[in-house]
Amino acid sequence: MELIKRQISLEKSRNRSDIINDLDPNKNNGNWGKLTATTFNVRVFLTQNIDDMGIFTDMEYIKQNVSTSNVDYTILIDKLKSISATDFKFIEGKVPVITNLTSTEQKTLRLTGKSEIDYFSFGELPVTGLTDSKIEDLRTYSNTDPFKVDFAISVELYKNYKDLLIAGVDKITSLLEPRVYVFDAPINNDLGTNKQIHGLRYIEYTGQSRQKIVNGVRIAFPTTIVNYIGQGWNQTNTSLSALTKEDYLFGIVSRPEVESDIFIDRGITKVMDLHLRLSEIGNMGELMNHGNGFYKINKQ
Amino acid sequence: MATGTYGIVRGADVSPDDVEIFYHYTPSRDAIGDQTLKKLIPSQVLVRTDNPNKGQSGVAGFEVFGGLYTLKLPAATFGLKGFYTIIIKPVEIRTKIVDVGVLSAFPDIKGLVFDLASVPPAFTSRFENDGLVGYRIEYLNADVSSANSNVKLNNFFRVITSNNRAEPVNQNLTNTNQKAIRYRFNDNSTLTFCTVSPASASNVKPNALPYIGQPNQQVIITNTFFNPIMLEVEMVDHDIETLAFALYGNQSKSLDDGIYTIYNFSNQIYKQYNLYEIKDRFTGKPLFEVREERVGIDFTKNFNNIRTI
Repeated sequence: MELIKRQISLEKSRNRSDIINDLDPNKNNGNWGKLTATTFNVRVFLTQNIDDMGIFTDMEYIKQNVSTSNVDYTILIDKLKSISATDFKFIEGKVPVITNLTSTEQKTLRLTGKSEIDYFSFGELPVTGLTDSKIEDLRTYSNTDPFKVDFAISVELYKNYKDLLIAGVDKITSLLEPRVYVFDAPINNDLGTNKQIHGLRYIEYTGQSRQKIVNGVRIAFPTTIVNYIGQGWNQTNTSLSALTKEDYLFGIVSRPEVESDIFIDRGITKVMDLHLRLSEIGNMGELMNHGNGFYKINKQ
Repeated sequence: MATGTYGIVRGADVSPDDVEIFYHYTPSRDAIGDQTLKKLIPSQVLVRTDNPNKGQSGVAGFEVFGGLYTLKLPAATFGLKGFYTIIIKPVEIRTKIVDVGVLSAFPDIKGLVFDLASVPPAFTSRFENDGLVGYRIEYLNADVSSANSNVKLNNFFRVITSNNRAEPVNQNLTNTNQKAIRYRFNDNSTLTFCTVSPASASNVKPNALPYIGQPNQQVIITNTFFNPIMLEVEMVDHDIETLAFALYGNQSKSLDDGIYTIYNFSNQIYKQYNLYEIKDRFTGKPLFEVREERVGIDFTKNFNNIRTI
């Protein structure tokens, strides 16, 4: 802990004003030499050293239910009475009073009355990015016409992140420049347009190319844009659990991986080495000397 | 360029509610001064700074600038000449351990149980699920018969690694004739189960468990939101500038009444002295020339006045 020193001169905060009392030249307003400051301001810098505890262990828990909120503490109360520790308020049936929660605490604390839905944050904002061409996923079996406009390669009924039933198709909507194709998009007037809400939309500019390096070789490939509506935190990727910490995982920030293809080379004869030497022993004396690493013969 | 290293020091953005500020006063280095520390109210004396970068995020209100705080020391308390030692540290939450136990589903996980209803109301929100992660627990002597009863155990603490509301259950053990209290997580409970570290036995002596507390033991729970600092503020009457008044400031000597006046750089009266001679009362021989500081200031010696006479 560092020691910070500051020196403050009181003179700078003293009244030296020379207001003269006309009736008595030796008196002023009575405040000469008195402290006029109400506060002395000093700047300090607080820091925090941080460290990562590592991964936690998820556990199931019983969620708060207002209608069935009674918990039976009898066994614990009996135990505390046996050691004369009875001044805990929960024994009297008192409940904690949680007051003055800031808006940050409302959002970040895992308050007992909150459920998964309180942590959902859909966003639902349009997202655009550059990616590889995916049009090969829409290739038909036709040799002469491999890419067909408005031909649904796949039709699937699925539920989206809000549990809405979507009849999604994978199809090419335009082979003109730029080529437009969609995945899991519902069939409606918005399909393939910038008003499409569900599924993914790809816009491929065959006349423009980007470059990337594959195995040290620079390769040109068409510019492909992907559009979709972000879904944020929702019921498909959010769950609540009680977090606990096991000591052996303290400081371990990634999940332990199990390696199943480990080969241990013990050498050809190492394990059997001592046993194989038994074949070279011809008499009791040599047997006593050998010992095989763990036995001893005592003479009587 | 990524070097694979990372910094671990950040400017703290702690709220004044999570801070305690104490001070100690002594008039000089050779005096002990106050026997006990006095407390200041952090919400009144610790002022956070607004972040000038907040506009880039469209923030309309206040956004704390990490690390930089202003201590507004009240002049009524800090207006005496001397040394003030100010300690800024995380706030202490004092409570008692209700029980020590293990989880019903995972008997290897040991922890402490606290009663939320017994925690001071100002700190109850910290005891919500996962609210105590990273807090430190220090223990008071649980031996009430000892002369050092309830004295803090030195050099001993644990770190809270998780806390969740839990209820007690009576569980069959391996021996089916035996039952014992275990804990399971239930958000309807007013108790919270905290795991601490270190709490595991070593692999050399698997039955020797580290001490993590015992029922009815007083503990002190402290956050680790910032590193404590100590500030020494010396309140002085004189510094380089007041010495400069005497050296370079305007001065006047009234020849009529022997009043010698020193002015500050704003031509305000800084000090006044009486200049006089002490003579032998019988022979009239001058013995001493004296410069004596005046108790009352003669304001007729105002610099602007005497210049315009």
